[in-house]
Amino acid sequence: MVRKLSLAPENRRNVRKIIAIVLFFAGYCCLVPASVSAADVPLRKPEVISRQSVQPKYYWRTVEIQGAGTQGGAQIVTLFCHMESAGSDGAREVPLVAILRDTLGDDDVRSDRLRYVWLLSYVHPTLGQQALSAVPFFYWRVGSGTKSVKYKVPKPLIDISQPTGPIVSGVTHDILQWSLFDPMMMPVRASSRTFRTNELDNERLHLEEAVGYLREAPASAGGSMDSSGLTQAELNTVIARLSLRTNLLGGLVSAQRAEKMGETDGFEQEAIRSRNMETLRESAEKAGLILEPISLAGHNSQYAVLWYPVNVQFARSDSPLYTVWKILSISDPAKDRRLRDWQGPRFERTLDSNGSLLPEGTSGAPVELIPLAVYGMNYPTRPLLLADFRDTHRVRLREMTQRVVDDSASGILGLSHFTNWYFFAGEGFFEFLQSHRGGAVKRLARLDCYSQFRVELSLDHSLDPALRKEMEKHVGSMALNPLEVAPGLEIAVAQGHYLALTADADAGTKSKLAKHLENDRRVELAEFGRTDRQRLSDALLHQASFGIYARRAKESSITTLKLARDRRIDYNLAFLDALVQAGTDPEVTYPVERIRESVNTLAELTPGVTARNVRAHAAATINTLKSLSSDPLLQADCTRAAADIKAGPRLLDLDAGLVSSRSDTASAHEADDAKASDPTK
Amino acid sequence: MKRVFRWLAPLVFASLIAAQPVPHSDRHDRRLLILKVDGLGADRLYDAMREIDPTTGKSRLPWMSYVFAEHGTIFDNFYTRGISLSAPSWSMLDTGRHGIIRGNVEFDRYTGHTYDYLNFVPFYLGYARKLRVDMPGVEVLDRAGIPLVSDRFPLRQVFQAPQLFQRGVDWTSLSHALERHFSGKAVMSMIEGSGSPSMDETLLAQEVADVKTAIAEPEIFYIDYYTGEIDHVGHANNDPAALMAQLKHLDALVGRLWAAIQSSPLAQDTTVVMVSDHGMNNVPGIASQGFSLSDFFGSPQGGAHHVITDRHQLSDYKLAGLNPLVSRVPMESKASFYLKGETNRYPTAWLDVDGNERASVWLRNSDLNKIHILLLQLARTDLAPEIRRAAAECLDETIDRHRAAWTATANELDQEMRALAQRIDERKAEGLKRTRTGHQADRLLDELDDWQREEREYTSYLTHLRGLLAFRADPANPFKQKISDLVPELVLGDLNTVGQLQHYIAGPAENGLVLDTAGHLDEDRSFRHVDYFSMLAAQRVHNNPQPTVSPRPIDFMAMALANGDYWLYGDEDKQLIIHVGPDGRISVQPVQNLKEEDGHLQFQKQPWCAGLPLHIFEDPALHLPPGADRAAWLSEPHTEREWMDAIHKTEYSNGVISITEYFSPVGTNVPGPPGISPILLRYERRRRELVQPDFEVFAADHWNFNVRDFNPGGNHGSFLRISTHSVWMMEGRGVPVHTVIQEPYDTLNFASTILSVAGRTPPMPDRVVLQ
Repeated sequence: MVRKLSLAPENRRNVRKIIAIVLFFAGYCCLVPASVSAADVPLRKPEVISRQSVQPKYYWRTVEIQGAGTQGGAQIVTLFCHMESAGSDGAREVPLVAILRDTLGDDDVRSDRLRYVWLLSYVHPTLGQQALSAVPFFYWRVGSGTKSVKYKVPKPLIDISQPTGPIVSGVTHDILQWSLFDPMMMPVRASSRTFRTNELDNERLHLEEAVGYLREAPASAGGSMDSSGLTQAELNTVIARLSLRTNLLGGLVSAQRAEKMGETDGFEQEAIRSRNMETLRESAEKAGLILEPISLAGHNSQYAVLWYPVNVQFARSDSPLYTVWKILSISDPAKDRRLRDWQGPRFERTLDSNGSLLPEGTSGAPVELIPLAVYGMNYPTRPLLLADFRDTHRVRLREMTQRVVDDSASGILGLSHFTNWYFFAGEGFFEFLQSHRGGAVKRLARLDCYSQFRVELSLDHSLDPALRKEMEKHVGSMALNPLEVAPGLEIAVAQGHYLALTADADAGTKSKLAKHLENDRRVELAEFGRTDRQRLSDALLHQASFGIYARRAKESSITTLKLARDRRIDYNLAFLDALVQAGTDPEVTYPVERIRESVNTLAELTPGVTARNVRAHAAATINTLKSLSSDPLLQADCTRAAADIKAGPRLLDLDAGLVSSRSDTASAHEADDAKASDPTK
Repeated sequence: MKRVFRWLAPLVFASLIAAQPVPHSDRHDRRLLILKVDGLGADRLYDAMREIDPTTGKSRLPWMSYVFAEHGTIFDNFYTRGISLSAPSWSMLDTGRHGIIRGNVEFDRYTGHTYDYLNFVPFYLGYARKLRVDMPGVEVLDRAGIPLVSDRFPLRQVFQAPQLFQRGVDWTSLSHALERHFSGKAVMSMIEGSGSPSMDETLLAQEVADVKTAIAEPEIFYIDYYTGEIDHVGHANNDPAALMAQLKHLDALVGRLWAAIQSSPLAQDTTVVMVSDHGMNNVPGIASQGFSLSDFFGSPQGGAHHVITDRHQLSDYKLAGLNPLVSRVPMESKASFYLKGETNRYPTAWLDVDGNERASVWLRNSDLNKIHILLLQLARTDLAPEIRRAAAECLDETIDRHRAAWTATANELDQEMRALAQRIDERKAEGLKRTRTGHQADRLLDELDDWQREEREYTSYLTHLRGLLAFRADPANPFKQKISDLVPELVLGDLNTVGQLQHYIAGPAENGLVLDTAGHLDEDRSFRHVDYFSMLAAQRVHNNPQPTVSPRPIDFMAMALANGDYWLYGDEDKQLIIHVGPDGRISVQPVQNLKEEDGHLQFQKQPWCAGLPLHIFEDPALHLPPGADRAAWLSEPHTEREWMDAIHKTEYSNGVISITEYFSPVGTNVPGPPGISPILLRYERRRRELVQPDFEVFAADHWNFNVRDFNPGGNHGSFLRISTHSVWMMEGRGVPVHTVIQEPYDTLNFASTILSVAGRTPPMPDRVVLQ
């Protein structure tokens, strides 16, 4: 007998309530990482640590690759972080970013090229992770991301010498998505879009991570005797290339502009940080809270903790504070019942007579502090809340909400930028307004901030351990991407990757890296003198043939010598181009001997080049230089050089002629300034 | 023979004289090219010029070193006179006269009219709509009869780039800039993600192109170029590399312009000048911190004023902040004691905080507050009869106390309004029509518009003043008139005296009006009072994470007293009075506890000691004549030149002189246009006097009062040497080669000297440096 269940209206309401509660708890369990538990942490005095001794130091270490290919040599220049651990595990050396400098085995920095950039902490996603990353609305990292890591030569993050390479693959991906997957049924569209978004986010996460490390790297002085690390110009170029990689067409930016961009981006970052810190300081002052800038992994003034003084009350601003809470992105602690019965950690610190927070271990008036939040200063328009100690879900919900909206629009509804432009125009306008009202609406910029914070926190040993632990607990809640792995694991694998890389470099003829480098050198040789259009068609063919086709020069015993010649022509031409572009008397800005040296080198090397556009370029530059110069000797050199170049190509005995010409003309002065100005071209 | 020789000798001598080149001062075919760089500090620039770039073996700024250090003259000790602020400083640099513009924004006390000197947008829009011809600063100078340096050249010989004191707009330049901004190259940069240049950057690039075109024109004899980029970057950033990048950019510009000059037909007759209006206190590793004066004045302790500033506070994150046309932003004080809901009608504190390291404060006259409060009380129907009677009596007494002064003001203003009305009729009768050519008719019509507005606004104030003078409070019945009939809206009234500012009436007492034993109103207990000097000096900030920055955001306050005296207040015990005698000699006296009692100033003189405002006494860089006693010398009267020589290298540089410049009676600096009637001249002088603030607040080092944005880089506005030490370099005809002038000079020397070098008549011949 089947009894039909019928519920009274009030019972139906109760059932709905129960379902809602169950769903809420289910959601809650999903949102809260397993490790999060409300620990009853008693008031604690922070360990008094000398900040000087635990601040990590960044330094370069260079490994020569003696048998790189059949000819020439290369170096792996690696940025390390040295940490005096505050804990029991002593000092640690963590390799972070490695860069291959293709030196061709000589000491002439003018013929060096930077090539591959490896983020050593990068862990390639497993198949399981990739499968999960295609599941729409799955915004969780499972555990640490992966359990097993294979230590092999990692895949470079980018190849600086081939910046246009990723453009074609990126465009191909997008075209496939628009033309093939988007018209398909919704599950395919949603899955493919989710996969692509997660993939790009994961790539961006690591690009930003690498940029963050490189911004802290010390610049070497440059010069022929200093191969210890990257010069400031090289650093600027690498940083810019990494940043540009996040743009579809970023690879089209020229080397000179990239270097300039890397430099100005650094200035902007500094201005943004200062501005955000001041915004936060003023907000804290108005709200009667205490702000403390913190240093993470040697990065100063990029993060700050907001404290709530328990037993001291500071005057608040009399003006309405709603904007302040909006900026701080937290609720008013004075009205928060959770703080009255706070179960989280408390810290005992001291204040000076003015009420300013004193450094740890300094005597003063004691104050009991509850940490409220941690902010990052790198978000472009305002300080970004990275952890809310009272509310684990706040940050995560913000991120998830926007991902849900974005994924629904593109994956479920299938809205396209072309056919549904009005939706995206409206969204853009809404974001513009929100941004001007103090909202942190740029998802990718938030991702960048998060990217830096997670690894810097893992690297750091200068913070009070209890505070660091609390931060780690909260920052884990921001991991939305199934492709991601835990930052602690990333740091742990970096050493293994470094060893695999250097072991391969020492493997002589068996070295995969050396073979790869040799192939890329032949590509470089084949590309010399090719126009942009020709290069683009080469890249298209390479992509269309799934990488089988690549335009390379034939293997030859003089490949290295030809490369050295081409690079020296490039270098000197870039130097003279910069002088000519200024449109002013060149002798005022550079010593005339230095300019003449470049002109003479071009006069000597360019006639050996068959590429017409290189010769035409050199001739035009030299002619313009002559018209700008007021030095008769330089003018005479220019006349002679232009005539030599105009005379047409002549064959050079590369084995003898080039080597001798290099030893004749390369002066120590030229070599020294070469590295400092622009050797990455 | 002798006779012949006697006859011939003068002839030969005369011929020889005639064969000599014409002295420079008599020739008018010399060209001036002035590079105006806003916010470029001399220390930073000159240090960078001296540094050698190891990669080139040349100066880090090779072009500036080449042009000015090797081929020209550098004024190593050139200072901003007055406050180190753009509008006041450029007004003096561009005219060579004592300043009549004393802030980046000014408010008329009688009408609330705003003079917003820094906002280009309303000017450009006004120009496009044929409503404005010149920037507001130029209009003010024109009304005062003070010509610009460029006005000394015929209009056809002038090329003026966009700047604060700009006449007209060159639309072709703007349209070229737009073309440049949306060029294929720029769009491609945007797509690549390498950052397309901002509109400001594009405009600057176009301006450079325009300047180069002007250089090639042989009939143009005055060319200037203005850039604010260094100022912008300096405010945002303390990173030495970022600042050096800006200097290199400027250096490259000098090189390009130099190349253009060398190939121009007037290459041999061009004098190149680089000048800056002020420096900036960029110190690597120290971020400037903000202190919100608008929050202070809106707070109960600050008087709970509704506050007006010229810009929205960025910290409010309002969409209204996007409006570029705004010049007057009222901010409500939720704590207001008696003006709740009256933010837009009765803002009582007006601030010019654009100066960063300093702020001008206009407070509504304390007695106007008292009248307003008493009228509100008298309008109540529940007021006890004895209190009503006492309040009415107090109100009448207050008006009577001002009766003589207000009557005189009303009579004079009446007379001036009649003269103005007559001028309006005359101008209307001229039947001018707006045109785009020459702008002269447009200028006259702009002036007519201003006159009509002023006549309306001042007449309104006059009506209220007459109303107040005629008013007698009814001691028995509630006041039934509209308060706005007697107390004008958006008006500040007369300047507050020291006594009023020390005992400022901010609202009724918490318990309302109170009578004393004699049955009169007990004013001390009936009103809330604020002593602004001690209150501001007591401000402390607890969120001060930089140990090298003082928790005291305010350094000192300053205001003008009567008879050429100026008062600097550090705290009750640390005060200075700077006195300027009738002969112009300046003396400085340390005092303490200065108070105003019954209209008389009382204070105790004190010996010189460390810690006084300007910190001159303890400054190791104070350079006195040999054997001079510090305390004695500082208290004695000295000429401006003697003071300049003694103090210019101290921490506050020429602060003593600048105080006298900044607070000096502004009316005497207004000569008026030629042919102006005495009454209208008095009116023009009154208009300038009416924009004077009550007092000036100076921020402590690395503090600022900015509201329009957070300003963590460097700041300026104070007398700190790093903010006042400015750039002045020259090269060209009539300028000594490879010369560094160590003698200190200030803003007033600039225009007279360059005009003299260019063979024009200097506005102040005694200020000419290079003869």
